[in-house]
Amino acid sequence: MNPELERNLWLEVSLHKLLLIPALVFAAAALVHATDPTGIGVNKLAMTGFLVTTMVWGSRQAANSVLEEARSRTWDIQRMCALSPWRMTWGKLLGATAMSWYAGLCCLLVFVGSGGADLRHGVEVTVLVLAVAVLTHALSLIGALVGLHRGEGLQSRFANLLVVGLLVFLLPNVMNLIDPKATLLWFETPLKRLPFAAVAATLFAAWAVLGATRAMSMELKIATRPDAWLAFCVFAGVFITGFSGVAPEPSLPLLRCLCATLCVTAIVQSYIAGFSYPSDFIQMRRAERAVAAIHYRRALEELPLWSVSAAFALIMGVLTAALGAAPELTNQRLDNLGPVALAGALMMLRDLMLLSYFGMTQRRGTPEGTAIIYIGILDGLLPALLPQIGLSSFVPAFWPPFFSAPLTAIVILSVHCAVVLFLALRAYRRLEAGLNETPGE
Amino acid sequence: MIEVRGLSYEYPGLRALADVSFDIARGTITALVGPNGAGKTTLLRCLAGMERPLSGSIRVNDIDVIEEPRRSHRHVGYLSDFFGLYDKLTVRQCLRYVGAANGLAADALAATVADTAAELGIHERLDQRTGELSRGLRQRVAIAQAIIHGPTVVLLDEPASGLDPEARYALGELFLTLRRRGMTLLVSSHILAELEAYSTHMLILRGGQLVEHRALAQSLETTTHMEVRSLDGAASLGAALAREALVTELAVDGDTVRFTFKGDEQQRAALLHALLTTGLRVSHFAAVAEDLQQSYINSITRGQAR
Repeated sequence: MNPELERNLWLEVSLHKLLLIPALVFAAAALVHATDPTGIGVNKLAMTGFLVTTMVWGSRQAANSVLEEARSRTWDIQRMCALSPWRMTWGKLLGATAMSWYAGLCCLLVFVGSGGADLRHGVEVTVLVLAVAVLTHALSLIGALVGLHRGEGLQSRFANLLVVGLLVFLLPNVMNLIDPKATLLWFETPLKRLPFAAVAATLFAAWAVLGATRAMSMELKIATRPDAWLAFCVFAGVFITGFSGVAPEPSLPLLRCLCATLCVTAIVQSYIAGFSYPSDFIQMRRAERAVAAIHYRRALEELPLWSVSAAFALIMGVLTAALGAAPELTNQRLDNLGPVALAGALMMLRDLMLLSYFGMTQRRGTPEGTAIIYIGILDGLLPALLPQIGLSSFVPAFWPPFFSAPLTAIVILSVHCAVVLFLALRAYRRLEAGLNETPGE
Repeated sequence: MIEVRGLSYEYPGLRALADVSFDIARGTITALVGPNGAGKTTLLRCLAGMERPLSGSIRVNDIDVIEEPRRSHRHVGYLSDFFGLYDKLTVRQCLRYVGAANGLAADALAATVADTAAELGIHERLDQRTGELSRGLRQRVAIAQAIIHGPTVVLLDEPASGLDPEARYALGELFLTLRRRGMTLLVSSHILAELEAYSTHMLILRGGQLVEHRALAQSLETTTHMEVRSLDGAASLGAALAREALVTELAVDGDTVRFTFKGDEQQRAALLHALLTTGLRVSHFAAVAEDLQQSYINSITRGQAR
């Protein structure tokens, strides 16, 4: 048996819990059935019970499987053992959440028993909700590992928000989502919604588990390349493109639409990575040394995750622009998809370089907080303030005209990027000089 | 056994290790000493594959620790300064987990747990939860966890902190036992007198730089700390000793002259003869055993002078 799974089972499983949980679930089901003999109430309660126990309790347990280690100073024991990141990850995901799974499966049993639906529908629903539960557990584990990486000892707020958001969305809509008759269009193909959702959730859950394994590798100081990060970006981009509904439009051929979606996906991923794993001076030093030593594999391992997806976003932005017809590359049309995507990528690059700059210069507080404040000033406060003091013509210098004049926006954002890059490089060289002047303490 | 080359580690705004290189031979116990913030813990964590250095290489048992940290963990045991234990698990469960997680075969696990517990004197506590144990017993469980998989290298960061004198003595005895079993130990501690009891080598770090790394016993054979007194006064005695090539670090302390003599017994006899030949009435001529504390102070002083 996986030692990590075994250890978690030692901690989680007790005879008391094994007896109490089904007793509570079946008692609640019997109570509801007594008031509503149609079985609909029990059916809803069971599904809600499954989602709450697995998504709330299970996610909390998955995160605590790492955070508790940090709190009780046992994380070093785990880091010193020879288990692979994969075994460590699935041992935690399955072991720490064992009792929530037990409770959830009791609920699922009641759901299937009270539903009266056909077998196929039951299997599809079961696959869907199991996948959603695994997805939330893996996201929580990633969040905890990010929190650990940042030395906060807290779960990442982003992962928490994602899990809560998913729960808030699912709980009121769950019975509608599992409607066996509902259909949807994906790449212009009509598909039954429930099996599609089940397959999609399973795939996203698999990606989340892979992500958790990668995050675990990083915390175990095992070098990882950003290939999975980019592969997920492509997967998510293709998945979302299927819903765009613009593929048949002659002005937006599928390939161009895909490139634009990949650009947007990469931008979103870059922001997530940038604020989850902010690049620090030491990491940049390592990357610089690896490049200087012409050790490109090591350089890829050392590069901040955000920089890789940011580069991908820029490439996709350029590609989207290049794939466009010549008349589109003007400032006249709203559907200048390529230049807009490129401008968006440049804006993301500026913001994340600004974050890196504050990471190198700020001694107190969080660089993320300061970066958000300055991004707010640049993109919100100044464009709102300037017209009030009669300087409307300066507004585009801070909030570029993305849609009305995307080419102008690209020029302005390139200047922004150049200025922030200059500041970041200067801060980097200063820190480097400081280290060279005072070796040791 | 341990090969470190050009190891540098940086924290933001601080170079914790600067181009550190050394080799540690199999079956030795090396005392890792240095002032607070010298980089001792960072060095141990890098050796254990728990931190990725800025540059340099670390090999343990010919395994590249930076490239393959998890593989190296089968050969390395590490006890952190601020270690924790799974308080809700029993000692047996803790040891089983660490043993299995480090690749011990399932059929050998029970016997290995029993043997390790017996070696550490915690065999009667195997079914007790670690959260119920005293500080000393918890320390033993932590050490048992570090060595249960039979590592060839054991890294210990302040292993005796918080232990009473009796437990410290037992710990020293345990280290000597582990050494006899062929393990290589690197022990960081502030309590130099305690390290003296079992260390064969000393590695001194200061400001992230390696000040000195040498064998303690071997050096004592060729380097002696001497103190000499003469009825003719310390000044004339000091002047005579200053002319001797093998005399270094000369210091006058009242009527006593202390110095380091780099020579064997024959050369020491020749020095005494030379002093008597000059007509000095030598009343005291003795080799003073160098303790680790003094050795450390001397090394640090030399390092500062350089």
